[in-house]
Parts: sequence; C-alpha cells; structure tokens
Amino acid sequence: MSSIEKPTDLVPRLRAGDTSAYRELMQIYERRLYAFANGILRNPDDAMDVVQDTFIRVFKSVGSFQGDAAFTSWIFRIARNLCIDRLRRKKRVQMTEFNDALKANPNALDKPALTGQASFQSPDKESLSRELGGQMLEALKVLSESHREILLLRELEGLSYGEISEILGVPSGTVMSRLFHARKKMQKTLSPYVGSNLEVGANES
Amino acid sequence: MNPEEQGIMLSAYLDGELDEAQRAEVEKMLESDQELAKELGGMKELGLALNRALDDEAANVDFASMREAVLREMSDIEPSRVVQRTEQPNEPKVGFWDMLRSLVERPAVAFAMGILVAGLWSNYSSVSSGTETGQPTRDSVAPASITADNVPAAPMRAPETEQSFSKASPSLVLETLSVESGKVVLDQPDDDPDAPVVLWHFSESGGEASGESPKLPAAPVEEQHNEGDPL
Repeated sequence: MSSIEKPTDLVPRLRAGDTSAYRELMQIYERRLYAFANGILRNPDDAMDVVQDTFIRVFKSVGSFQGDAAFTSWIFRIARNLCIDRLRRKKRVQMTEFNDALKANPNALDKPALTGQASFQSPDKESLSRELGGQMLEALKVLSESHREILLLRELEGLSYGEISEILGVPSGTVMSRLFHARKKMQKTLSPYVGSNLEVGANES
Repeated sequence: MNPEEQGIMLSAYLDGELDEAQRAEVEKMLESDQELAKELGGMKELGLALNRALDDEAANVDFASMREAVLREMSDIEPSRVVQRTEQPNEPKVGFWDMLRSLVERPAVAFAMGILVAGLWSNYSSVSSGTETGQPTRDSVAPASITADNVPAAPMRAPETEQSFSKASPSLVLETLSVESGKVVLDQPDDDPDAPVVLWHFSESGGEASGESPKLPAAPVEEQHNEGDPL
C-alpha cells in the first residue's frame, strides 16, 4: 500500500489518461465503494455495477474536478447518486410488480408481511455470532434510504458531518440528527443481539 | 435537555463533532448516568459490527474483472484528449462545418448568404426557363455578383410603394425576402440583363419604403456594401 499515492496526488495523472493511475485509484476505492453501495442496495451485483459506473464517471469527469473539493467526498457523492438512481428504478419496477400482483390477488395484503423485524424473532443463541453479520446487513434494509446512506458514510468511511453534509446536500444539523435516529433504529432492530453478541465481537477483536 | 437531544449529543460526541464546551457537558453526564454510558457503548459497537459485516462481504469480491471492464471502457473514451482541450492555451483546430456553422449564426453573414443563395436560385431558374422556352439565357448576370458586399452601382430611384413597384416597374423581381421590418426585393430591369441588381427594402407600415431597419438604409436605394459591413 505504501507505493500507492494519495488520491489527490493521482488527479494530474488521471487527467492525462494514465492507465496506471486509473488502476491505483480503483485499488484505493473499490472495496470501500463496494461496501458502501452494497450497504445501500443490499445486492452484490447492483453494488458491483455501481462501483464500475462510479469509476467510469470519475475518470470521464476528472477534468472538471475542483481541486478544493475533497476527492473522497466527490467520489462518494457520485456513488451515492448512482445508488439512489438504481433504487428509484427498482422501486418503480417493484411498484409495478406489486400493483400487478395485487390485481391478480386482491387478498394478498391480508397476509402478514415479511419484514426485516420478523426475521429477528426467536433467534437461536448458538447461531447468533455466526449470523450476526448477516443480521446486521439485513437490519440495514429496515432503515430508510436517508438513514442508511448517512450511517454508512459515517461508519464505513468515517466522514465528518461536514463532508456528509456536502455529499448529501443537507445541513450539518440534519446529519447529526439523522445519524442518531439511524443508530437508534438499528439498535432497536438488533435488540436481540445487541448487548450480548456485539460485546463478544468486541472482545474477540 | 430532553432524551432525544441527549441522544443526538451523545451520537455527535462519539463522532468527535462537538466543541469543547459540549464535549465537557456530555462527559459530565456520562459520569453520572450509567444508562447513557451504556448507550454510548452500544452505538460504538454497532458501528464496529456494521463495518466488520460490510467489509467481510467486500473482502470476498474479486474486483479484477471490474477493473478491466472500466479500463476497456476508458480506452474507448480517451479522456486525456478531452481534458487537454480545456487546459491548452492554443485554440484547437476548427473543422470546416464548425466554421460554417459559426458563420451562419451571425445575422449579417446569414443575411449575405441568403442573398447569395437567392441570386444563385434566380440564375438557375432563369437559365432553365430560358432553355425551356427558347429564350436567350441570362448568363451575363453572374449569380456571384449578387451578393451583399459587391452589389454593383445603380442609379438612385424615386421612392415607390411595394404595390406600385410590382405593377408599374418594368423590372424583373429576382427574389423577395422577408426581413424583420418588411421586405427586401432583388430587382433588375427586365430588358437589360447587364443592368445592376438593386436591393429594395419595403417597410411593413403602409408599404412605403423607409429606413426603419437599422441594417439597411432607407429604400429604395442602391445598396452599396463594403466588405465587413454589418448588414
């Protein structure tokens, strides 16, 4: 990793179309972007598509990148916008499918819906530790888009409230408040695990 | 401070986003409130666990093929060329069609080109009609001479209305063009193909020739344009 330059140092080479700079930048960000996109989209294929599209957009528009803006914030803003686009497209498709299904079976809404909360009922204690990661990711689905993205930008990327505010286009006060509510909701959703397994995980690490 | 405000402060404290006074206030609360301290620990653990879970998933992903796909796409785009165009001080070479388009976008040039086209069309139609009817052609009227910047000299005429012009004048109307403030007519005496072509400008008000248009002098007059004049 020591041979890899800082992202902003790569900008002149990226602008010159240096392929090795493209590779270096991808190596720096690919995993982080994937984790972020996967956290928002909860779909590995979609997440990978978003990562790929993000890099293409970054390389295409690096000429317009303003040096005074934080490079990481800029990249994550692009990735975030691509995630939102994808979610909106999916929602439109799902809404159409839902309406079609409802037309076909008008009693469908009488059945109890399977929610993220339902999957946390009666957890088997022995499998808690093994499943914790999966449940954690499932719990993300319970959050609203705005809570999910803010939580991921903070917890995964460790971005400051100012940087998150810049990426999302909301005031810092809103970031602060949303982040608290996102954490609170996650804790509530994961209440069968929190306090036992989370502490085990912390001791193990 | 209500519980929600307290929670927001605690969350911001965890993220290191509070100023010194706020931080001291939260630390004081943490010392006296065990529940609050436990809540802070839960928030911290949540972040770590989430990070671990997402990072574990990403760790199993092979990014090599994605990288290659991006590089393939970029090799088609050649971003360096696009970027260098904005950075280089020298003007890039402009193609013929770009130059033509930029010229046509200028009203004066567009007007001159319109007159040229009208002249060409007029010559073409008179040639074809002459051939068809066996009449002598008007080869002596070179279309290229009917341009805005080299209209040949013609004697000054008394002002006429458009109506009287079309009825009484023994001229051949080569072309009528609508302009912003009326009409422009390319006129040439019918019996003299060697006579200079005259531009007539008629205003919209009552058909009287006037000099309303800032682009044209009061009409009907001979239009003598110098090269580079804005029309």
